Amino acid sequence: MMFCKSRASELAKERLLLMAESEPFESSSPMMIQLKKELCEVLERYLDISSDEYEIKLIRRYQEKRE
Amino acid sequence: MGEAIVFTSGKGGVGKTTSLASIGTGLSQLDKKVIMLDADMGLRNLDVVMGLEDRITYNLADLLENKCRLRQALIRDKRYPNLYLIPASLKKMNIDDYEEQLRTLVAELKKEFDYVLIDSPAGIDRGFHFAICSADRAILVTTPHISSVRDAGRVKYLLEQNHFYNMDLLINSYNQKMVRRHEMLSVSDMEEIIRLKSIGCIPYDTQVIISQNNGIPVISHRSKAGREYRRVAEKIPYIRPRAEDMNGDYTLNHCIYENAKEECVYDVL
Repeated sequence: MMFCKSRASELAKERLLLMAESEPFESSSPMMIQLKKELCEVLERYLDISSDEYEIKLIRRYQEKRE
Repeated sequence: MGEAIVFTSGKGGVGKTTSLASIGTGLSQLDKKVIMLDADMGLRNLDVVMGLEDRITYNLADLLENKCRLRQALIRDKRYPNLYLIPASLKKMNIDDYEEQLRTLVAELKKEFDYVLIDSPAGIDRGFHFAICSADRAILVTTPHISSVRDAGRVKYLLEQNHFYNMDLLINSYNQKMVRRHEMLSVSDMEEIIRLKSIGCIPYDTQVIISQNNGIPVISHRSKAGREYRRVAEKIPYIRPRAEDMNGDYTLNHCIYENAKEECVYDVL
């Protein structure tokens, strides 16, 4: 990430858009928890990596109606 | 039949109470009968901002617990004839038990008043749910700070989860110079992130603090913020959501500004 002062607003916007897309799907729903658990199992089967070395984020694209 | 509007934000200190006080005053000066309800139980602020803290006898808790009549809890602002206030209580109460009473009260108030403006506490816990339970629409207040914008987005999502879709964005503490230098999020940035059109953009103004210290809503002082609050108050009677926005699909929430015969989509500032 570039910490260039003149682009602070653009950086803020990028971060916020990313948070807006991924946050609604964090934890809570049992299906999501199960999904993440199974994804971890698959990853750890193929990669020599432990759970504290990576993070799984789900990002959903909204279907927008534009006029 | 009046309309109940809740001022909410998620983030604290973004200007819910300040905005409600000025917009309520502005609406009352347009010959609308306005009642301002402070639903921030335990930490009341609306009375202080309006300079009415020494006129309190009964509060919202007393009213909901049937310890007083409505007339006794209403404070009429002598400076603004159509403006009334019901202050919050200073004690924390178990508000879950009083949601039904609040709904009844607001329904009664809507018969007599054109606008019931409800001040919500910060956060998204019981106090927030209590404040929004009887509202017809919400004004979501945010500042250009990254934390406020994120919280506003979360609140919008939560409201929609509760099938609450009538909301408008109000931006506070805006600094045009910083926006031009790309140091601050712009109006269109925030509208894009939160996915709501804004009904107003209040500039940062030191007069806000001075007015509050004097117990006068800033709309009554000649100031940049005051002028913008005036504009927002004048817009509110004309804002309606479109039917398409009520169906739960994810569309950009537009407000239509009706001008008697014409209809035009309200433009971004």
